[in-house]
Amino acid sequence: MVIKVAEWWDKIRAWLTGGDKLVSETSRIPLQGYEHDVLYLQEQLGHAPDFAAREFRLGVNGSRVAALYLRSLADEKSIANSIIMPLSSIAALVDIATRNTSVDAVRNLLSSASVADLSDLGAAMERILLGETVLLAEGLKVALVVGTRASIGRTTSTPEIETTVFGPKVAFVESLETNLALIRQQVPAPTLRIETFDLGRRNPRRAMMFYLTDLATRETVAEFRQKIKDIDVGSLLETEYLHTLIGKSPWSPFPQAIHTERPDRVSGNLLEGRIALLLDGSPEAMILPTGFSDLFQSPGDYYEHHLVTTLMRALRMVAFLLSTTLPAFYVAITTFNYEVLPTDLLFAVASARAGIPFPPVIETVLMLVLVDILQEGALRIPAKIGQTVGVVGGFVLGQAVILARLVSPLLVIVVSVSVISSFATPDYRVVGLARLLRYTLLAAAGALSGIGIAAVWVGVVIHMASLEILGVPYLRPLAPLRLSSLSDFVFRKPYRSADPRQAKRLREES
Amino acid sequence: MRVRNRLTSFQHGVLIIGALIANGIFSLPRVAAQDAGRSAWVVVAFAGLVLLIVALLSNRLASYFPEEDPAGWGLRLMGPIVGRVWLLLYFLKCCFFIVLTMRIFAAIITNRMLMHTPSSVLAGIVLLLSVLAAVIGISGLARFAEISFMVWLPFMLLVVATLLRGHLFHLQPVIGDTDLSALLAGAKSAAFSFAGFDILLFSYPHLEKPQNSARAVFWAMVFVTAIYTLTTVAALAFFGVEHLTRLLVPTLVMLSIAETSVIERFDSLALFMWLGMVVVTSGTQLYMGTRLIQGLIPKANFEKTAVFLGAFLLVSTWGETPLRRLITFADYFGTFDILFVTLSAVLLLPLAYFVNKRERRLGR
Amino acid sequence: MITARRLLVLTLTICSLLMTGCWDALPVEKRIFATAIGLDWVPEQPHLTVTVIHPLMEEKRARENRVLTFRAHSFGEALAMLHHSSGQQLSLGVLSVIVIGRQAAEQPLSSFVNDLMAHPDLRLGAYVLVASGTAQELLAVTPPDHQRIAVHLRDVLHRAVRRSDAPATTLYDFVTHVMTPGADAITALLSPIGTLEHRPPPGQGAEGAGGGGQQAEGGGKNALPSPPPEDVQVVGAALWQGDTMVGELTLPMAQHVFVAMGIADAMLMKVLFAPDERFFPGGSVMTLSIEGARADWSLDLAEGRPHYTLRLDVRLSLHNYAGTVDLSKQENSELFEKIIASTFEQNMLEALQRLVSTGSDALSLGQLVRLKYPAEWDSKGWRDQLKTATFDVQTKVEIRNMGLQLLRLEPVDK
Repeated sequence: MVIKVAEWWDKIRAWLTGGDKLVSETSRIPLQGYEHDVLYLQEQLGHAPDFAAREFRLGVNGSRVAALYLRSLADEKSIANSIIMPLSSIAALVDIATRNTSVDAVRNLLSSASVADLSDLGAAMERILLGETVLLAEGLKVALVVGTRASIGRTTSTPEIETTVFGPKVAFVESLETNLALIRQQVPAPTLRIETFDLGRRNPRRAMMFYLTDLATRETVAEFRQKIKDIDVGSLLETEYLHTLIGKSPWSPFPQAIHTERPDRVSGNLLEGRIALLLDGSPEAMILPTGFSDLFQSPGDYYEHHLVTTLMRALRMVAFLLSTTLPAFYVAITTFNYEVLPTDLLFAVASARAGIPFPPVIETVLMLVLVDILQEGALRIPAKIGQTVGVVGGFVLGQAVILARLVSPLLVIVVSVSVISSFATPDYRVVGLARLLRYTLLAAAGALSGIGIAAVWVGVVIHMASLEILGVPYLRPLAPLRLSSLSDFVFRKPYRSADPRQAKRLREES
Repeated sequence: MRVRNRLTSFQHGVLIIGALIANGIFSLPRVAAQDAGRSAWVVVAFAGLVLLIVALLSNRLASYFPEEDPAGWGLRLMGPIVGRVWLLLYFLKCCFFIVLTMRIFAAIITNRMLMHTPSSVLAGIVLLLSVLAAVIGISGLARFAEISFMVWLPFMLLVVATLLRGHLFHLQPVIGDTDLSALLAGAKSAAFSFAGFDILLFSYPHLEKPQNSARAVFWAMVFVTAIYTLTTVAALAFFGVEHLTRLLVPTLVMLSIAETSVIERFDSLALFMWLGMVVVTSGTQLYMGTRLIQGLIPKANFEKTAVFLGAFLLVSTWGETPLRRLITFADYFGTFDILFVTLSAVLLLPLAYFVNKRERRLGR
Repeated sequence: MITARRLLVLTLTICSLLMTGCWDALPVEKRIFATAIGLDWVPEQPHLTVTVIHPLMEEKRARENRVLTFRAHSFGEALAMLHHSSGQQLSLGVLSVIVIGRQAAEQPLSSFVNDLMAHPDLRLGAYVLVASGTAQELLAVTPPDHQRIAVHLRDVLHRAVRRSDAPATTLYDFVTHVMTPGADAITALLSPIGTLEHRPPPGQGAEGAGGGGQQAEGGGKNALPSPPPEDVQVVGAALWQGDTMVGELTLPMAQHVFVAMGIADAMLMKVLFAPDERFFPGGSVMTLSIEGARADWSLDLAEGRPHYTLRLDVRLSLHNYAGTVDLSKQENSELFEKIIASTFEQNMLEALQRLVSTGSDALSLGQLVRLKYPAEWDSKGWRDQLKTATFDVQTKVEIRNMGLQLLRLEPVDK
């Protein structure tokens, strides 16, 4: 009965979302002749002020040809040089006159490097919307698509979030072609495979999947490819959308992919056998499969001495623990398990708390909420008044609350350390995760002391143990423990003994 | 929610360790010393070595069915009636184990830390976490066991390190203080601490390399026996047998005495870290219980069954039972558990051998 | 799967609701932390006096101690009175010292220990001390540098332990010894003393200098009030037999016992040497620095009387040998070592005899009997048997550093 109800629901939903039909209809419209096709496209796109339909003849008096494109996206100079001029020149006429008008003949005349055939109008419309030019000619049974997309936006950029002291200072931009070029520069390997997909039913966006055929496992690539093909959404504006669609568990707050703005990081991960995905319009790449330990690795780790890197990685993990657990630990100690602290420290804590009107858990929640509000506000505050507001916020939180005896000075230190520690991890998504965990642990500590903290952590570890990204366990290399993989976990081995085996380890774990 | 099932040998070993070490170690030195006196550590070592043999026999039994766990081969081996009875007994044993594990841990916490918190709340939390651990499947459970093991190990080493502050005369004479019957009684009392290694029957079919299973089982049992023995030695040397037999949970007392300049007492921290191992133990038993239900009711869905079993056992968290009584009951239960597993291994092994031989002859 | 997930969510919700009880939540500033407990016995009225020292938590008076004294029949009753009078929960998790007054120590303390051990968060690492007078008097001392008295007592004991002048007997050690026949406890004996440090008179003291001490009252109108005791010192060791104190040793005797226990490291021992023609014509008190001592015990049992042989290997340095003999010569140093060994043996015998005469088996001599002669071991009759024990001490001394040798100085004619 459950199955029947589900079937009926699917039918009702399909009926309600009639837009699906429209998409499916337009995607299956075959070419029916020059005039019909041109008219059709003009009807569909003619309302747009930047739509252009340039009609001319092959040679002087040859067949009619229409070049349809969007002025805002296509490079008109390229259209003129690579399409209109060659096709309308006398030489073209001579060439065509001696042969029948055919696709090959026309294609040979075009001086563009990218020319493809299309046989349905829906696809043709999509390509026009991507900035390419569609050529329809009398006598031709196919439409030709010529790559004429203009470069819009930034050419290259410097990293804004993942900054490093050493190493390249280049970041991805919104243009997929530019990003492709950046990766090609980093990985000029013949084994680099790039697969292209168009994602999104309403607003298709081009996506590219990168991997090295000799390092990535076939099964992982196949699984990833299938996941991408299974994506069925209206539109995708950012790679972050893909995170929940491709990831193992959409409800999990744990980042299940690395998002990076750095081409060097992508290339490093490709050389470890991972797969990267880039989406047109997004300046971030998504890298899979990833594990929890990868979130604590910075691209700059490979540009510094390996012992320094080891120390930094260890510090990041400690910082993550501090950022999530320190406020909860403070509450547990001051409310339940005071005996853990050394005696003198305990008396200092108790003295600091004397006269505070709120219980420790309320006091801590208040401070954390205030700090989080300040953080959120700082993201959106105009630069001109940002400094002033920052000073006021710092004064209020740092001094006024203590003077007013609303919170204890020790708590201000605890909360500050906790918040600042969350930014010590290279991956910004971990900051959000740390916030979520912080409040959960705090609530648990307030109710059940350290056992509450332990219970939440046990639940978190169980959840992480259940996650597998493209067949690779999320807790690798600790669980399952593989000693060979530990060489790039916290401790980083010197470069000469790294890399080629990394991919092998990843293959073993998947 | 279930993950792909492949276990490494290390995971196999850690799963066995996690299934064995939970609450029993807190009271093990006292329980063994009550009967065996100063020879308590000898009987613990002896019990461990005997059960190592039983574990290896169980491993051999599992190796005859490399694709199935007892839920699969139970009926095939023993027939529909005897097989079902056996599965049902096994299932009940698992349920008791889960209830005891969570109740004892909850009682220890309420005794030492949270005096006014109802132990049913704490037991409920342990049960909930165990359900979560069981539902993610054997691979996920093994990964969780690995992490718990790594977190727990430093505290165990801290317990063993208190041996340095003990007195040698508390350990002497090694044998000679008590008679053989008292030694055997001590070994029997220590049984509860060794209960749980039969998880290997359920994890065997998921191994990457089944040929390494015996080695993993061997080292896991040796490790647990070593830890238990060293803990008993440390407790005896530290307290002496007269004082030791008056302490309900001597292992925790030893941890409470360990001090550093940064942390003055480790017993509270140890209890927090111990939660992971307790969840591994009860999680493995819950996993086994769920699989056994699937053996009795083949169409049962794993996740739903695990959740329903957890919900059913939630009833058992109600009420307050004194810790001493729980530990006493656990000692009796441990004897039953070990007897059940030992008899199963000993009786089913030759049966499995012949069934396996016959099936191979028939070309299956 | 949907059903299972809903059930899980429901269970999670129920558990979350159950967790909001916060049954044991009690902020740290609302507790009474007992840092020291004193136990006195009032023989005129059969009561225990329990003194609890706890530091006040208000900001300005953070270093003050508050002394709460209760008279009760048992420790448990005293704690109940404390809870009733203060309305606050007593926490023993930071207990540093347990001071037992002299008279209280001479009573059986099992019930006190039982009541104490029943407290759930008791810190078992608290030190057990005996006060030469009353515990109240010792806890009334105002330590230097305005330290908390419990912390000061703990520090004094730590320093004494490092000098091997006192054993580090914690509560769990004490209880183990109480319960183990043939191994009794030995604890430090402390006494309040005056100090050379200048202190402003009471009432003109710096803020926070007050303690809850009792002012001693002088007799007569014109008599000057005697100053309150201002420091504590280790003056010896208290000897226990089970749960009762049966005797004490002076500090020099206690040091010899510690050497016999093998726990003498960096100990400074003052030894009186009898006159010797060559080395000490008029006798001498020398300071020896015991750098290490190895003690090997052996036992013979004859007709129920234990005879112990103690072989000692002692490494020491001299600090103030004032004589005319050139100790750098081997024959001189060997002879000197023999003299020191002989004096050492005599003092050791005296200390051991004193020890066993009280019936206290602080050296765990009974354990040797239990191990070597299990058939003859009688745990109940051991205390009497111990008093009949005889000793033979054989000492080998090695002087590592001869120290400053002063020759007689003759006045120089100018």
